[in-house]
Amino acid sequence: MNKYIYIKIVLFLFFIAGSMACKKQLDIGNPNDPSLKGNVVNETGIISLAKGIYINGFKNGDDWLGDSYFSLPYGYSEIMADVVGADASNNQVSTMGVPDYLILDNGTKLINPSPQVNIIRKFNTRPNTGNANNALYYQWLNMYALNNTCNVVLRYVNTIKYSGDSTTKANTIKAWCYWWKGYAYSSIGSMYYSGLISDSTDESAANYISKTNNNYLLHDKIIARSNFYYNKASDILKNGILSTSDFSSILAQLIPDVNKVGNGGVLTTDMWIRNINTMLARNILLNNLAPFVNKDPNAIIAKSSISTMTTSNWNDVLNLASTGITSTDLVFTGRSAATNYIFSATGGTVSAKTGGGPNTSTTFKVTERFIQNFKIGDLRKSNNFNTKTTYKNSFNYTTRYTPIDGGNGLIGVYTYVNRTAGAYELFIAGSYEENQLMLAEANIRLGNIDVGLGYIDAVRTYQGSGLSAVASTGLNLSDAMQELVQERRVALVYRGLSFYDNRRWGWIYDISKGGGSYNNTVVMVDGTVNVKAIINYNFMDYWDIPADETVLNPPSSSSAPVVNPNF
Amino acid sequence: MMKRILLMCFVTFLWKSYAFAQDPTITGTVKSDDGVALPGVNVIVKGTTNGTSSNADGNFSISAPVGSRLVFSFIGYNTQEFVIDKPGATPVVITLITDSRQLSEVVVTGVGVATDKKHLSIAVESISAQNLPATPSASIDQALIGKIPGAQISSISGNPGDPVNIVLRGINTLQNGTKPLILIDGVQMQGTDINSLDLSMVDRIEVVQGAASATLYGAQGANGVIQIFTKKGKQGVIAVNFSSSYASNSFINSGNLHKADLHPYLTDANNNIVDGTGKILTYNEFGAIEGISYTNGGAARYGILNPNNVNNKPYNANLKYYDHFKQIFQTGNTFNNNINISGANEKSDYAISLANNHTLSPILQNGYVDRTNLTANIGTHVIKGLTIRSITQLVYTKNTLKPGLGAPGGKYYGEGNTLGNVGGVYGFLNTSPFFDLNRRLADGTSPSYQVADFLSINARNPVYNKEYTDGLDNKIDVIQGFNGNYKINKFIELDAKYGINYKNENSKWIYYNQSLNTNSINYGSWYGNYNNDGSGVDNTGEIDNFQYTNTFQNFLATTYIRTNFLEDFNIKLPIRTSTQFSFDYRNNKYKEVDVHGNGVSLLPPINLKTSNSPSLDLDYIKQFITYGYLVNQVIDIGDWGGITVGFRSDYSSAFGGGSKPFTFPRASAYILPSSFNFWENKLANFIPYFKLRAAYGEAGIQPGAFDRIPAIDQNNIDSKSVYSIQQVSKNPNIQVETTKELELGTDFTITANKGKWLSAINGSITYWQRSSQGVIFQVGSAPSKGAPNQLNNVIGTKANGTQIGLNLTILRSNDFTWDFTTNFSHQVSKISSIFGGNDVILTSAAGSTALALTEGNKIGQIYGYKALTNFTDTRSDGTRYINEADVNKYTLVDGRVVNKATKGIFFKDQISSLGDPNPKFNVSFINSFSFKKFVTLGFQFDWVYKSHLYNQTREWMYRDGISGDFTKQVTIDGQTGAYTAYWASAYYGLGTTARGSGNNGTKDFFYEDASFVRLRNISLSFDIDKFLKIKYFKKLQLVLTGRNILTKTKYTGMDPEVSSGTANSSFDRGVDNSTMPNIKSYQIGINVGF
Repeated sequence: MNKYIYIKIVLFLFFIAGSMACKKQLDIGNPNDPSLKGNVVNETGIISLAKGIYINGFKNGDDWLGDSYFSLPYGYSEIMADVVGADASNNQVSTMGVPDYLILDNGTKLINPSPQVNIIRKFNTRPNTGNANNALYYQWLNMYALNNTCNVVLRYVNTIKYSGDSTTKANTIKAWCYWWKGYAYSSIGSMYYSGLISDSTDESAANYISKTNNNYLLHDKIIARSNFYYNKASDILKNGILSTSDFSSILAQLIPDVNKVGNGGVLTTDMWIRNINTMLARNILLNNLAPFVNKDPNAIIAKSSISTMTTSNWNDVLNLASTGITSTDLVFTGRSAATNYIFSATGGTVSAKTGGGPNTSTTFKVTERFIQNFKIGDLRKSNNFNTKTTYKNSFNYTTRYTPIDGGNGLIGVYTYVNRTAGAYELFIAGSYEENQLMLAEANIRLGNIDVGLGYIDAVRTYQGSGLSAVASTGLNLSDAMQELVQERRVALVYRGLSFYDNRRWGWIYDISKGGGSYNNTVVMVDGTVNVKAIINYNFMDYWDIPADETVLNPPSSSSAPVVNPNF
Repeated sequence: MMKRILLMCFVTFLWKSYAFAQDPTITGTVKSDDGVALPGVNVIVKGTTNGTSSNADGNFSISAPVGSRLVFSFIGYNTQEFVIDKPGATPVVITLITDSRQLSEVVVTGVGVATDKKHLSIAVESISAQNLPATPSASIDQALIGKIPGAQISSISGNPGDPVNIVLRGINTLQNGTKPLILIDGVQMQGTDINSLDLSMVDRIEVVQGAASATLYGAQGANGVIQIFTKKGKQGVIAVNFSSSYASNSFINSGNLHKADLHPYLTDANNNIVDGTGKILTYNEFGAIEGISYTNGGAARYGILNPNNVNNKPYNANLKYYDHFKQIFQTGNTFNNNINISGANEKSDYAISLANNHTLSPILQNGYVDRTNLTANIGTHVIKGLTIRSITQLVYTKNTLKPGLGAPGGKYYGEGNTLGNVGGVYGFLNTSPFFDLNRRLADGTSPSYQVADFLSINARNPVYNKEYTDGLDNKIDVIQGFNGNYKINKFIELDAKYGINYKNENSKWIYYNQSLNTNSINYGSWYGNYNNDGSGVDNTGEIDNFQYTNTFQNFLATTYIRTNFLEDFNIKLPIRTSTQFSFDYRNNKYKEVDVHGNGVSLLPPINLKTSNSPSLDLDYIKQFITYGYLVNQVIDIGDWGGITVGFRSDYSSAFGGGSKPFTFPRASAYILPSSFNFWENKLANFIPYFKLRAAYGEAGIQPGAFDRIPAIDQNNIDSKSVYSIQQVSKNPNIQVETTKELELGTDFTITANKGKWLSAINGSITYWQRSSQGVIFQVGSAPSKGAPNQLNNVIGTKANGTQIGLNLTILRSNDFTWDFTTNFSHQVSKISSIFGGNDVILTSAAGSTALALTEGNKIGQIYGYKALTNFTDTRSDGTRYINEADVNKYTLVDGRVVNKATKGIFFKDQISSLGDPNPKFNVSFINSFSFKKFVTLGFQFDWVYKSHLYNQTREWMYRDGISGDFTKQVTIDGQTGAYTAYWASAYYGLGTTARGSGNNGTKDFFYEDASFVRLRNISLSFDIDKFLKIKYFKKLQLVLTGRNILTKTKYTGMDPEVSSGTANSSFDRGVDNSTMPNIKSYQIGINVGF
């Protein structure tokens, strides 16, 4: 009996002791997620991480009415450019593009009780970001996340053993990072009054995040940083690629297969350099004023956060665009897919959010101000829009037009909306059309009107508009600019550029400062159509810095302003 | 040295027990004070382990020496002693007196060593099965509501199968929520939700609430512990009990939430709703209506703000009014059946139960939840002192609720705390009331999107949801516990418990191919989970398959050493000691695999294989291992008092193998002034029992399994692996959260009256305060770093509260008894500090409602815009909202400043706290009447005072002006009418502006007092057997029960008890955003015992 008890006790203690030895069991780690240390150790790992720019830069944080950078930050651009309107209150999409006032053909003045600048400032708080009411947040979030991914990749790119020509392979990945860093700084510098430069990772946080600082720099300094990185990418593509096949093999892995359709694909180094030149030209063009208010090419904006384009600027744009994207060049595109996508077919782009039903039920509604840019006979209009239903709005968004999903099937004519998986080609960066229209505008502004108009014709032909040529038809500067403006508005729509155009043409500025938009079509709910409506947008030209940054990272005393002082 | 002493004592003890082997046998019967034989009464020879228990007839037989004392104990009765004064005495009759104080009741939870309530130094609540109401859900969590003093248990959703919210002592951690640890017969259960267990198998439940007691259970116990004890077989003839009940269930709508039955739209002379040209509106081919217009302000959304529009026209011509709440919220029912068989002999005992609960959802009667429980508690005495017990619970649950209409499933659903997917139910909330949800398209199918131009644009039709979806969830829960208990002698007891809790759940959602539905085609509106119309591919449907597996193991080995100085060592000190050494090991493994395929075939078979491009969405494993040691020492000094000290030390896999354990102490003490001499004469008559107690404890709350491991996300882009930086960066420096608690309390008995009335008042009052440091949460980090959030030990919390439990024996007479219980809880939880000082912005599961954690403020406060109540109110910068010169443009309506011209309410455009949604207190009142033991009436009122809810459900109906409120008249500047502009401004207005900036903003207008008094339970039972004296039946009872049948509240939503946040969320507790209200039920049941 006693022995039995002793055995029991011994067994019991033994069990406890045995259990004590299970400290190794505690080393579970995280079996689900990769880590920098464990996974970014070879070519496959660093490529997977470098490809992460699509997730960090263009997907994470953008789930709202849509699901990507191309529906939300791009969306604000299109909303503020008055090419789309919105009814839903989410993310302030129904207020960010509403002008301060309208003056109808009969002189009636409609005043917006919720002016945009007021809305921006009221909702630029961290709680409002939490409520998805702070429009300023998303572009900043995405672009710094994009920048961070590049910083992390650059931190590890030289630690990897590559097969083949390791210099080429590492340089290809570096070019990729420099390009996207250039892109990120370009977006920040083009949209926000000031920004931060953050080019290294934080060792104390195991390199998962970047070091930041509180020295906010004025937007032109951020654009300069963008140019710095674009040039760095260009240099490495010119001088650092020793093996074309190794370059292509890496780039082919970095670009998702779904994007390698149409204008998307594996660029050659030369194509990529031309893409960079287009983006360098864009940096100049979008961040200077070139006022064209009420068809006056010499209009002046009294107060703005940027200066007016000089002849030298125009020549720079001309030179860069002349070595920019050609019609046969591959560019950086994005496409939806049925599964495993960067953005969804029905929700990931401004385009998708304008289609899929009558304008009464879509998230975005194409505006009359967009449609008015189509010249009579433009096949792009007849191929893409019906007038079956009228969306009615109490202010300026009433519209008779609904985009047709997939278009009317006219061969060779550009389609604005296609919600079938993979069908719509989204331009993440530059495009042939954009480059051509930069050439057009620079030439027109430099006095080569017909040369410039020729580029407009080229774009119209490229998109299958069916319009007759305007070159050599004797247009004066104002008329030529009007052609340019109309073409830019319809050809480059949904590419995240529209707001910058309205800004540099001076339209978004207050009428009292020389801005405003004239000769607009505005339809009333009772069906009345105004065609000479004056619209005073009075939008903030460069956004304040989101409170999420300035509260958690307060500016140093020597920082540039984080609130746009001109509004 | 100690060991040697113990060994000596032990040997001495053995010798003694052999020496007395020839003792005479005493026989007798044990009866209760009402003369009924009591089976199962423990009979022990005092000071020995020699014992037996009475059989089914109350008879016992035991050998004991002359001069020894027999101790008769039974839960609920005062313990009695009987001195054997002569050998071979005639059969004795022992009558046990009902113990109203229940001080003899022994509890084990939170005290380490089984302790009678008299000697408890902490607050332990216990409730026996007979006091748990037979809820229609037959679930323990529902039954516990209102039963535990100090606990806030609220039923936050009426969707069948959803969990309840439980807060025991304050909110002390953020990531982990407030869910307490659940133990079944001493073994932790994790994975299986408490609501899956069979209520009929519960014997009693013990609850310990604070860290002071929960330290014993390690980090997992920091939120308190609920321990369920299952029924054991009792000696005697085999007992067979059968119960069956039927309940009719419908949703509560105590605030009469409804849509406006009058409208402001443009009409013709015959009251037909017409368009601008006078055309009478009718449904179009897609089931929508085109051309609607406001009477003033035209055919656009903001016509609602036109101050001339009045909501005063009846729907009595072309368009009719439909009560959508009635169309969707129907009547469901529940069938409960269970059979229990139990019995025991000297060698073994068993109790086996089979129960089935079948609940038809009241939501469009779209599906059912069918739960079957098989429970077996089998014990056997292998050798003297050694008992081996196996407790098995097998649960099979089949749930056919449809996705959107209550189905379980979705990402991480298997981890618990997720409510069923009810996203489609309130699709009708924004549907204008002139749409008939049951109206079909020409081909007989339902429309998805019933839109009327600018109205009803957020509409979704739940009937369409029902038509085009299916759900099937199969869940198997296995909870198996083994317990070996060896009482070696009166000093040493060894106890080993091993429990495994396995759950395997498969949830399948089908969204049928909707590509033939003309409404769906035209409006691009369809239902889907991944493939939805907001971010999906197309309307060809989807199949989702979620596979969840939880495996949880708990091993607990304990040695108890007990001594009694006086009896064991002949030391003249009335000291008793118990020492507990435990080793506690827990291993939790969760696996989930989610697969979905888009594009469902229009023809059978409909499965993943026939869908397009099935994709793997999640393949996830989460394992967490923790083990530790516990030492707890109890010293009792006579009946006067006692102290307990102990500590617990734990290792955790969150820190890896090389880590050090975290050690936390506890201590408690009690003193019984009523046991001292000075008390005896004066006070003892009035207060026979009075105890003061104090306890202090610390506990550590471990970080989440992967919180300390920096990682990157794995994504796929066209089937190739892509890594991305996580949006919440993990932190390798995270430490354990620590929580400290001090509890002070008293337990007492007052004998107010010697007669029939108010013979005893038993009470227990506890005050507690807690603080937590280093609470882990994700806090905002500068976006320029590349990740918007980082996990860190950043928050400090402080909480305090009071709990009171009172039991009154109001009346005891021969024919009639009346007992009354009240349970009270008050608690406040605050954020005491945030590292860095910046507010923590939270995302709420609810609408646009704003939550933040702010230093010095209560947890869970809601922030938003307040209406101006004074013309001179100023902004934070001191400027006035309304300039002096403009004051005459405004007037006060219902206490709010309203613009006379626009008729809009003026809301301040600066955010401030609207208040704390947590209640000031909650209290329950439980009455029980019994007449001649034939009729029993019991009812329970729950009163929750000054809780608040943000009524987002109501606010959504303001968008299109379809809330019933819009028909209410107001007087503005002398004019009276149901102005749409006035009511709509509550949705649209902000500052001096309407249109946009304030749309659906969080406003105090919708922040409502959600205090309520609820008749939680009322039951009337007839014990027919007592009346008819039918042979063979031990019990024949008819029970009529009503649950939640009365609610008194000012809250204007459907149910003031709901919350839309994650179940047991620490902070998201005060929003009602399209949440399923609770169910009110009428139930009839019979209980039969053989």
